[in-house]
Amino acid sequence: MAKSLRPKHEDDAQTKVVLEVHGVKYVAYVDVQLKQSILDPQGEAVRSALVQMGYGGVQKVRIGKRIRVDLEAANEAECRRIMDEICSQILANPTMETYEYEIKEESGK
Amino acid sequence: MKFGVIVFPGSNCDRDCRNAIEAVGFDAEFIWHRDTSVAGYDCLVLPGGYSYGDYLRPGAIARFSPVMDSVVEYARDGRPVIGICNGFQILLEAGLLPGAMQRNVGTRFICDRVRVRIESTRTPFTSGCREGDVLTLPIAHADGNYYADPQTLAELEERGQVVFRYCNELGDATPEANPNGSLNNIAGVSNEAGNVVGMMPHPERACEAILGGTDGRRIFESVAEWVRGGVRVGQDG
Repeated sequence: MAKSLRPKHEDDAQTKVVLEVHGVKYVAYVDVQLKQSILDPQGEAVRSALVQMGYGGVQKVRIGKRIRVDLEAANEAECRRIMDEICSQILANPTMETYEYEIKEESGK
Repeated sequence: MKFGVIVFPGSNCDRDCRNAIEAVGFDAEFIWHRDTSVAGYDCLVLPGGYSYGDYLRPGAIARFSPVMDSVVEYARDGRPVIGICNGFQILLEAGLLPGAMQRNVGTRFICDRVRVRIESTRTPFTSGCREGDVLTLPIAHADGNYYADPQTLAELEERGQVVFRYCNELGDATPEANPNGSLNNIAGVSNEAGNVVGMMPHPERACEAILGGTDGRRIFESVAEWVRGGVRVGQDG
């Protein structure tokens, strides 16, 4: 059957299936940190405890988050596009946090 | 006068809000966060609690609830929206209000009764107050340390978007009166138009004398009076 004769929703379904079959599996590790200009009360409490424990050389402690995301994407560029979107929309709050991430292709089982 | 109280998974001040609004003499109904219509309400309330367990950051996940698109539209129409405590955090995450909430300085959860000074009366929620009035209201939060970058903060002050400031019994916003480290003692802000307000204190917990205070009534009474007047805040921002 010619592609153009199929109802549109079937085309969509077809596209989805293709993506699922040919998607590459990636693992992304996201590092979210408070901006340097922002006070980190938790980090400061830990720093103070470390100094009290005798680690006088500890200058600064900042508490961030490390988030692992497993995802499928057509290729690495697509994977980065998706990661940029989800990092800026939800994983980090750009008002007070910065993020960076590394991605790698998941090797076979 | 009908308030719509939005219920997110993990909201826990939704019933308090409804009871308080009814005690003050108005109607209130719940709106489930999966509903996509907020039609028929004169004012929307995003209540306190722990939407989505505060996972990731308070409010970070709730802002993507299906109802939020309608809330954004409702706010853009200049209609009154208030976020209380976690509701404030959700409005910040949604970008309806400027700034962000950090962990309290001192890192502790604070449950207390504080004084706040009315800084602006151009919002629907403070229209029945006078500038400089001091209200005594409960607070209960771990992440109420208001932050905005220096430029945003300067703009907020300049445009009169600071609505409430923590203060002492004399009405002075001193460092000692600041419970959580908020910049400029900020306890609540509005958007530029003034129709969207976020506040960390809980007015709904101070609407009946038996609960130790009635200053919170003024927030709900103000907006009801404002709605009766048929006022809409400037739609072009």
